[in-house]
Amino acid sequence: MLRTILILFFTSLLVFAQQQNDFNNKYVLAQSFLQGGQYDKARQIFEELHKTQPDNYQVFDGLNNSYIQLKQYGSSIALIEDRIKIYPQDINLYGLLGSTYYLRGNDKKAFEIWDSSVNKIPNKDISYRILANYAIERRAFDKAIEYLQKGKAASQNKIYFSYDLANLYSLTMQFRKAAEEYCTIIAEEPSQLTAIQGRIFAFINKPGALEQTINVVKEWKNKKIEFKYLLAALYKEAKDYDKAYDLYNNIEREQDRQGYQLINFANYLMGEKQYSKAAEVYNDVISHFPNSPFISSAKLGYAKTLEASLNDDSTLNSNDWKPYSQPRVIAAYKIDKVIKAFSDITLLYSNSEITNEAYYRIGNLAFKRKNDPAEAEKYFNKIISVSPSSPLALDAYIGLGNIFIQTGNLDQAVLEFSKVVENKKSPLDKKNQAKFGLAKISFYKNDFEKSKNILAEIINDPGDNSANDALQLSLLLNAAKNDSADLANFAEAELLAEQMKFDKAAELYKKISENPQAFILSSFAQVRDAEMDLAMDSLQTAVMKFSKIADENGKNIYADKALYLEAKTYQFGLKDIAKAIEIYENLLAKFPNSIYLDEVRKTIVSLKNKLS
Amino acid sequence: MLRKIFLLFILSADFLLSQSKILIYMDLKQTDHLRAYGITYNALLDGAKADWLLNYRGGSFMIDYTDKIANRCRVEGVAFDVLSASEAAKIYSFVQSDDQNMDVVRLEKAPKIAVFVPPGFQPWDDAVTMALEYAKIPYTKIWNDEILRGDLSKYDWLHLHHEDFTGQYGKFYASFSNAQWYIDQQMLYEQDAKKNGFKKVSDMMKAVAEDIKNYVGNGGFLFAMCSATDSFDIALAAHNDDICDKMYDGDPPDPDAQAKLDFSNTLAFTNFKLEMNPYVYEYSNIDVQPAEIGNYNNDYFTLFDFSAKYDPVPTMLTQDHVNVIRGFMGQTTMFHEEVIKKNVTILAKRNGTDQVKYIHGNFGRGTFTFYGGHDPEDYQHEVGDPPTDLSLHKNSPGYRLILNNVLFPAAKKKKQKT
Repeated sequence: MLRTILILFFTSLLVFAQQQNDFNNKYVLAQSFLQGGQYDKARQIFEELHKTQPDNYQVFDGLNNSYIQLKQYGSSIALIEDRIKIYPQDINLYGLLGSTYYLRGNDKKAFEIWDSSVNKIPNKDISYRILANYAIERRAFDKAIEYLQKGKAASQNKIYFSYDLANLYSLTMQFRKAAEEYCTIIAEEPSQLTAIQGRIFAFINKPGALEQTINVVKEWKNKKIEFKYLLAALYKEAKDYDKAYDLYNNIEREQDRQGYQLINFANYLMGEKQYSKAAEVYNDVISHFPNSPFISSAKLGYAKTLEASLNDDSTLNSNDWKPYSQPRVIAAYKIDKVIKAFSDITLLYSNSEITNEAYYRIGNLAFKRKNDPAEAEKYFNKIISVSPSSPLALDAYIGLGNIFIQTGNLDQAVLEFSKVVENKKSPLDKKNQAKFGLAKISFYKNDFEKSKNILAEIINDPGDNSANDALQLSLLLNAAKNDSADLANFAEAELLAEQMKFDKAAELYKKISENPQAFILSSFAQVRDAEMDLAMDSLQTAVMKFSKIADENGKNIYADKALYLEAKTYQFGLKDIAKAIEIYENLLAKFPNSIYLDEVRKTIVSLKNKLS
Repeated sequence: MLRKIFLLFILSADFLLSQSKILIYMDLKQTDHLRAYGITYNALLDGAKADWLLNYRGGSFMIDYTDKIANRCRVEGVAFDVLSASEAAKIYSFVQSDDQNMDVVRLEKAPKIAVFVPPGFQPWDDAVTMALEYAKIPYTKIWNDEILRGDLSKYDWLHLHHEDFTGQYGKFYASFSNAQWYIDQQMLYEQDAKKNGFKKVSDMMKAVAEDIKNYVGNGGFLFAMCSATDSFDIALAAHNDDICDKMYDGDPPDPDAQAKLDFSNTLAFTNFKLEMNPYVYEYSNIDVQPAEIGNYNNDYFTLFDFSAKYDPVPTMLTQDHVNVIRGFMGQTTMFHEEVIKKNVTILAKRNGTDQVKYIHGNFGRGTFTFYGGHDPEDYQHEVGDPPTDLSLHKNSPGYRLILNNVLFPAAKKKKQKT
C-alpha cells in the first residue's frame, strides 16, 4: 500500500514538474514573440497560459501588453477588470486600467478610474505617487501634477513630492511654480541648496525662467541665508551685478566669511570682463577685511582689473587708430592708480614671480602710457637685478632695448637686445623680437646689409609675430637698395618718428617725397609725411595729403593705403561717418585688389549699421 | 536751336547711361558666388529687374547699372563687370542664339521667403538659413501655428530642413532620449499640438504636411533638405495610419502600418518600406545608408544637363560653376531611385549608382524640390557640431544649388516651347 502511495506521489510530482516546465517554456516563447514584434502570436500563447494560471502576474502583464500592442483595448480592459475583482486593493491595476482607457482616447474615463481608485486604498500618498507615474507615462502632466499636489497635502514627507512637482513644473515651463517648490525644499532642508541650484540652472536659460525664478526667490530671501546665496547666483546669471554685490556683502556681514564670498564674486566679474565692478569689489575686500587670509589675492585681482579697465578706456586709447601718436597722458591719475596697486603687490610678495610681473607691468605703464622712459627703465632693471633667470627678465631686456632706441642710445639698445638673442634659454618668439630690434638699429645706423641679414633670419619662421614687420622692412630695404642716400635719410626719419619727434621726421619725409628719383621711397615718404601730420593732430592737413596721394592713382604704389588712412581720419578723427563711408567705398571701387579690402568691407557694413 | 540740341544731347546721354549693365558673372572667376545671389535678390527687392543668363558663364546675372548696386557688389566682395549697352546686347544675342544651350530668364519680383523652423534652441543648424543670412536675403521664420492658421499663402517660397513630419522627433530616441534638448523639444511639440487641438504630435505634423502640400498645389514653391524630404512624404502617405511607436505618441503603431500607407498622397516617393523599429535612426528605405556610399572620398554627385531653351526650370535649378559636386551626408543623405515617382525630374545623382541627390517635381500649380544631405560644406554634420562659417566657402557649388531655388520663383513664366 505504502509502495503504491509512494509511486503515485512521485509520478504526480514528475507530471507537475513537466507541466511547470512546459508552462515556463511557453512563457519564454510568448515573451520572445512580444519583444520581436509578433504580437498576435504572443497574445495566443499568453491567453493559453492565462487560462491555466489566472493569478500569475507576469502572464497577466504579458497578455495585457500584447492586447495594447495590437490596439485591442477592449480585451485589455476586460482582462484588467477581471483581475481587479480578485485584487480590488491593487492601485497598479487601476493605473493600468486608466492607461488603457487613455490610449483608447477616452481621457475622461481614464481620469475617473484613477480619481476613484484613491479612495479604495488606505495609503493615500503612495497611491497618488503611483497614479502620478501612470499619468506621466501617458504624458498627462496636468493630471500628474494634480496627484502630486494631493499626495503632498496628504503626506508627512512633503519634500519628495516637492522634488517631483518642481521637476514637472519646470518641464511644463511653469517656472514660477517650480521655483516655489524648490524654495519649499530649501526652507525644509537647507543642505539641498547645491543640488537645487543645479536643477534650477538646468532650466534657467529658457524664456522667462530666470525672471520668474528671481521673483520667487526674492520673496524667500530673508527666511534663510541659503536663499541669499541662491538669489545672488541668479542675479549673476541675469548680469545684475549691483544686486548680486549687495547680497554678497550681506552674506559677508551675516556669516563673517573674511571676504571669501566677495573675492569669489570679484573673480567671477573679472572673468565676465566687468573690470570696473570687479575692481570695486576687490577694493572693498582690501579696505574692509585688511586681516583677511585672502588679502593678497584681492590685491593682485584689484591691480589686474584696474589695468584691464585702463586698456578698455576709450579716452586713453583714442589715438590707437593712428599709425604714429603720442601716448595720451590726459588721465595720469588713472595710470597712477594702477601703478600704485601693482606697487602694493610688490610689498606683499618680495622676490617672487608675482613681484616680477608687477614690476614689468609698472615699467610698461610708465613707458607706454606715461611716456616716462626713465621710470620704466628703473622697473625693468629691478627685474634683471633681482631675478636675472626669470622669463620676465627677457621681456625686461626687450623693454630696455626699446627705451634706449627712443632715448637715442642705440649702442646700449644693441646690448640689451643682444642679451636676449644670446641667451640659450630664450624662446624663439622673444629671440625674434630682439632680433627685429637689432635689425631696426642696423637700419637706423645705415648698416643696411646687416639689417637685411638679420631680417632674413626672422622671415625664415613665417609663423612668428615679428615676421610680418620684418618682411615689410626687408621689402623697403630691397626696393631702395640702389638709393642709399635717400634710404639713409629715410632711416633717420623713421628713427625720429619712433622717437616721437614727429615734426623733424616730417621735414625729412617731405624732402624725400619731393625727390622724383627716390621712386618707392618717395611714395612711402609721402604717406609717412601725412602720417606725421596725423600724429601731430593736424587732421585736415593729413586728409589733404592723403587725398592728393590717392588721386595720383598709378603714380604712388601706396595710394590705397593713403585712401584707407584718409577714410580712417574721417571716421575716428573728424567723426564724419558719411564721408568716411564714401571714401571707403571709393577705395573698393578704385583698388579692387588692395590688401585693405576685407577690413574696409567689414567697416562699411558696420558703419552703415550704426548710421541706420 | 542750340537749346534744343543741348536738350537732345542730355536726353540721349541719359538714355545711353541707363542702358549700361552690371554683369555678375558666375563662373570660376566669381569671388563670392553666394553673395551674388543676395545682390540679385536685393536688386529685385528694390524694384530692379534682373536677367538670369542660363548656362552663360556659370549662370550669370545681368542687372541695369546703378551706383547703388555696383557699390553693393564691391562692399559684399562680389565680382562684376560694367558693360556698355552694345556689349550687353552682344551677350544677349549670343545667349539667345539657337546654337547655344543657353537662355535668358527675366527675374521680376523677389519672392517672399519663409523658413519652417521650430522656436528655441536646436542642436543643429540649417544650411538654407545660413545661406540666406550669408547672402543677406531676408526671410521669415514660421512654424506649425502659422501654417495651421493659413499663413503660408503670404509666402512665395517655403523651406523645410531638418524637420520630422512623422512625429517621431527625428527618431533620435535611442541616442538622445535623455538629452535636455530632446526632452524640451518633445515638450514643445506636445504643447503645440495641445494648443492646436491635436491629441498627438504625429496628428498635428500630418495636418501641417497636408497644409504644405495644399500650399504647393495652390502655386507655392517648396524646397526641402535633409530629413524634411522623406519624412514629409512619409507623413503624407501615413495620413490614415499610425506609424509611431509608444515613446513618440504614447501608443503602439498600427500593426498593419506598412500596408496602410497611401502612396497616392505623396509628392515624390512611392512604394517605400517603413523602418518600424523605434530605436533605429531611419524612417524608411528612401534614404541611402552610409554603407551604401562606400568610400567617402569618392562621394561626388553629378548635375544633369538640361536644355535651357526647352527645360528652363531644371536648368535654373542646376546652374553652377562646376557640375560634379562633393557629396555630403545628413539624416537623409540621398534617395534610392527605385522609390522616386516616375513624374519627378532627377536633377543630380551619383553616377553609376541608384543614389539620387537632388530632385524636382510639379504638384498642382506649384513645384517642389528635394535636396538630400544636411550641410554641403560639412561632410558629416553631427548633432551639436558648430555651424559652418560660410565666409570660408564663398564659392560653394553645393550651397549654390540652394540659392538657385531661392531665385527660381522670381522668374517670369515663359510659354513652353514644346
